[in-house]
Formats: sequence, C-alpha cells, structure tokens
Amino acid sequence: MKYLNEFFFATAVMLLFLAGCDSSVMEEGSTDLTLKLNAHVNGKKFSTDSGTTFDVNGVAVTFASARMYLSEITLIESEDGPVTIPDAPITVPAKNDDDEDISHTVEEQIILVRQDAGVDSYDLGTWPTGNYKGIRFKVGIDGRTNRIDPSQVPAGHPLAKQTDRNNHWNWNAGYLYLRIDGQVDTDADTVPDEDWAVHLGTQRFLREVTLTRNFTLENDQSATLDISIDYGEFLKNVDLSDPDQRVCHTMNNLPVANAVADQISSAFEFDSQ
Amino acid sequence: MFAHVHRFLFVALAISACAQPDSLSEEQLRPAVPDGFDPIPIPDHNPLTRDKVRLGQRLFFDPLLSIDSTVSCATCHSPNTFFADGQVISRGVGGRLGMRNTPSLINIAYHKLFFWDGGSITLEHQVFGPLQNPDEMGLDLASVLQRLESIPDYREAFEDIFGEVPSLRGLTQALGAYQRTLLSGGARYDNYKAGDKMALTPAERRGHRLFEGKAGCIHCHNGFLLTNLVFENNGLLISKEDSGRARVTGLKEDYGKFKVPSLRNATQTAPYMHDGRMATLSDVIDHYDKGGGGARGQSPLIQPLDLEDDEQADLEAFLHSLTDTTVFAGIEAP
Repeated sequence: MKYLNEFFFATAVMLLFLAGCDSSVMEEGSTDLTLKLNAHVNGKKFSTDSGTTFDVNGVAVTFASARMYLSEITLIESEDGPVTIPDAPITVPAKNDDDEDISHTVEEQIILVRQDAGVDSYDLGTWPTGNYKGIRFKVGIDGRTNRIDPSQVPAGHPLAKQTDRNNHWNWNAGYLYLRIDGQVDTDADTVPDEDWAVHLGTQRFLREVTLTRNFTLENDQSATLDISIDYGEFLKNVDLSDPDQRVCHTMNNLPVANAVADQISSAFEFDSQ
Repeated sequence: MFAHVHRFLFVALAISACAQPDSLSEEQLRPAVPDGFDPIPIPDHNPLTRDKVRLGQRLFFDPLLSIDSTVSCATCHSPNTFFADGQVISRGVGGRLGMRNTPSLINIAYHKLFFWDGGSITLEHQVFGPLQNPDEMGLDLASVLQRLESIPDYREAFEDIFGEVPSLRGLTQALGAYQRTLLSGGARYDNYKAGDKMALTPAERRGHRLFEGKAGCIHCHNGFLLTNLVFENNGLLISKEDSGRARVTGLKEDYGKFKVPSLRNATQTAPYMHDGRMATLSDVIDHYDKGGGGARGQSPLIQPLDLEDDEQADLEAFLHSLTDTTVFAGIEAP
C-alpha cells in the first residue's frame, strides 16, 4: 500500500508537470507581430533630407544617419512572465575574454533599425497570443555577440557588415549600438555647416528600455506595436554648438557618450496613436 | 609583379597540399611552416585552399580596392620591404598621411589581435580598416563589391570558390587566407637555434647572450615569433590623438600600450615604433639602454641597461642575424 501511494503521488506530480507545460500560451495560438518605430525630433517628423533642419537645444541640426540595434526583445506577459522568440541561429567566429578564437552561436532576435533608409517597420516574427503588459529590449548588443566577427556573418543578417553605413567599428571589436550623425549650424545662420556625430557602443553603454502598456495578441490577427523614438531626446544634454561635444565615437568622448546613453530609455515611448 | 610574388610564395612559403585525409578535403592546404614554428592557426570558417589564396593574392595587389585605384594593400605592405613600406607614416590615396607606421605582415597568421592597438579581432575583420579608412584606401564597401562584380574574372573566381557573387565574406576570407601564407623563419638565428653554433658570428653570439641576459629583450621578444604579442608601454611620449591600446579598451592602464612587434627581419623594416619615430636599430637600442622614455605608464620591465658601446654593437649585430635572407632572395622589385 505504501508503494502504491508513492506511485500515485509520483503520477500526480508528473501529470501536474505535463499539465503545466500544456498550459503555456504557445498552445493557445500565435500571431505575427510588427514593430513600427515612428521617429521624430522634439515632435517634428524625422527626416534625413539635408534640407530638413531640426531645433536641438536651440541649434539647427540635420540628420544623415539614424541607426541602432535592438536586442533581447521581450514581451512582458501578464501571467506567465516574459516571452522571447528566437531567430534562426547563426554560428560565427568570435573572441572570448582571453582573446582566443571561438565559435559563437547567435539565436536571439536582433533588429538593426535603419531609420535613415526610411525603414520604419520591422518584422518581429510570430508570437504566442495572450495578454501582455509591455515590451522590453536593449539598445545595443550584449556580451559575446558583441565580440563576433561581422565579416563572417551571412549577408542579410542584421549583424552582417553593412555596405551602406558602418554598423561595426573597423578599428575596434563591437557594434555601433546607436549611430546618429549629420550637420550642425555653427555660425548662427540656421544653416548647418559642420559635421556632428554620435557613434555609441561598448558594453558600458548598453541600455535597457522598458515600455508598459496593456495589449492583447489574438490568434491569427497580425498586430503592430507603435513606438515613437525622439531623436532629439538622445541629444537633450549635448551641446552640438560646442566643438568639444560635436564628435563622439564613444571612447574619444566619454562625457558625450554618457550624456546620450543616459537619455536612451526616455527617447522611447508607446505611440499615443 | 605577380610572377615575382608567385616566386616568393613558392620559395618561402612552400604551400603543400595536405596529405592527411582526416577532416580536410583534398583541396585544402596546410602551409609548411618553418622549423620550430607552431602549425598555423587556420580558422574553421576559412580553410586554406589554393584557389582562395590565389584570389587573395590577386586582391592584395590590386589597386582597384582603393577609391582612385592607386593604392593596393601591397602599396603599404610591399613584398619588397618585407610586407611593410619603410615609411615613417604610410601615405594612402591622394598622398594622405595615415596614423601609424605600417607593421610587417610576415607571420601575421599567428597574431590574435590586429593593428598596433589590437583593435581588430580577426585577420578577416581587419580588412575593413584600411579598405574604408579615407587616409588609406578610402573605398566604401558597396563600391568594392560593385567593382569586383563588374570584372568577369573576379566574379567567376568568387562563384567558383565561395559559390556566390563577390561578397564581403568572400573578400575578407580570400585576403585573410593569403596573408596567413606569409611566413618567414629561415634566419641564421634559426639555424643557430637548431644547433648550428657557427651560424652566428662571435659578435652576434655575444649579442644573443645580451638579448637573453643583461639587456632583457627576451622578456617581451620571445618565442618563435620573437614577440609575446602582448600590449606594452615602453615609455614613449605619445600624442593626445593616439593613446594606443586604451583607444580600444577605454582602460587607463592601457594608455600608451602598443603591441610588441616581432623582431624577425627587423633590419629590413625600419623605421621603428608605432609612429616610426626611430630611424635605426641603434636608436631603438639607445632608447632601451636609457631605460625607456619615462612616459606615464611605462612598463616596469624597462629599466636602464647601462650597456657599453661594444655591447650595444653586439646587440645590434644579433638583430641582423634575425633576417631571413631566403625570403629576401625570393623577392625582387616588380
């Protein structure tokens, strides 16, 4: 009888375990999700048209580049915790912390935002239906993935070396997490005339963004998350009229790198539309 | 030019097809390395093949890869000057000055990190540095691929070797493969190490003893490459614009550090230091004899040596024994 009780107990535990697996949101259905990033500069619709200037801290500015990496994209599920969706894995050469050659597999979903190419919408893949409380992601590339060799990433992957604008430093390991640049007016005639650049990278400037809003993903009903990015917010605490703050390739200008990184989180919000 | 380079490869590199069936296909190559050298570390993702090395060689010498088609990789890494260029600071397209002295590419296959500051993590990745630098070759990557696609020979070679039209992956793999074959280890010093005690002159032998003893050069210039490939600060006063390894890592302790260069063929790769500030080996020896430049962060390994004049001469004589004349014999001016 004692053994029979143990058998029933063990069976009950196993059934509970299996039932727990079966109750995951994946079983209830799935739907395609699109991330739409609506860019503006302090409220004015974003453009890389050289004739479109923006007022950034009282200075006329144009944008030529507006790129960033989003990684570790997570939907904050209301009941069962956060949900992430893997991407097709790639295995590429990388360096470990001792600078030894290793192979590294990347299977997380990574997005290269290319707003300067007029790309606002990004396919996030298929997600389980359910009620969600928000979205969380990092601006930048974390850990070992930031130490892969971009030259060996298959063309078309977001981490591959891009041919139009650098997404990875040529003189250093690591991706450009945030790349914004253009021209700035330096002689007070409202016509931008000097280059400015903020190219942000390295682990210390990886930043997490959490946006909260309740939303529901329903089976087979594709959905879009509308999020706005204020490119002026990145520059909120940078004075581009100051030559010392005009060029930041991260290591050469840590004060500006810090000032921009500290504004990353507040540059994003769920769109009010 | 290619004929001379082919000779160089044939004489000095002795690439041979690997006879071992194991995991290698019969097309894959394993260069015969000089005696005393470790096997070349060949990355799994970029095995050496004869066709790939040939394509890399062709690309290496092709000025098509620069914006005005005047500068090739070989412009600064010339086989006539041991894959360096003999300039203080190299000039790129339009005669523009670069940032640092050009290091030799010989034995580059053994390096873990690339450039003087180690900013590039693989031999393939480092291709992008000079290619896109406006002071070197200055060509954007889209144009590189367009140019290669427009030339049937290149297009066919990429399709044959990589199964695709010219790509960044193929370009960097081919150039990386070629550079991994640039080997040199046939100096008289190597014969001496192998047991031929008469390979060095008496002065060179005295210099060798100083090298390993009183002068302490061997602390950093050791192993078969005669470098530990570590980043060190030798006390040079440096410009604000070039903080060395710290430029890459952002760490204060890396300020003024640069990769310890190999001393192989040093007599043929003047001028010296990361910025080419020292014209002769005598200048270099004098720098270390004085105990370095005394700049912030200087390595404690560098202390005044108090070498006598004849000792300095012996040390310099020893450095001459590190020249691989068999390589030099295979290289002729184009």
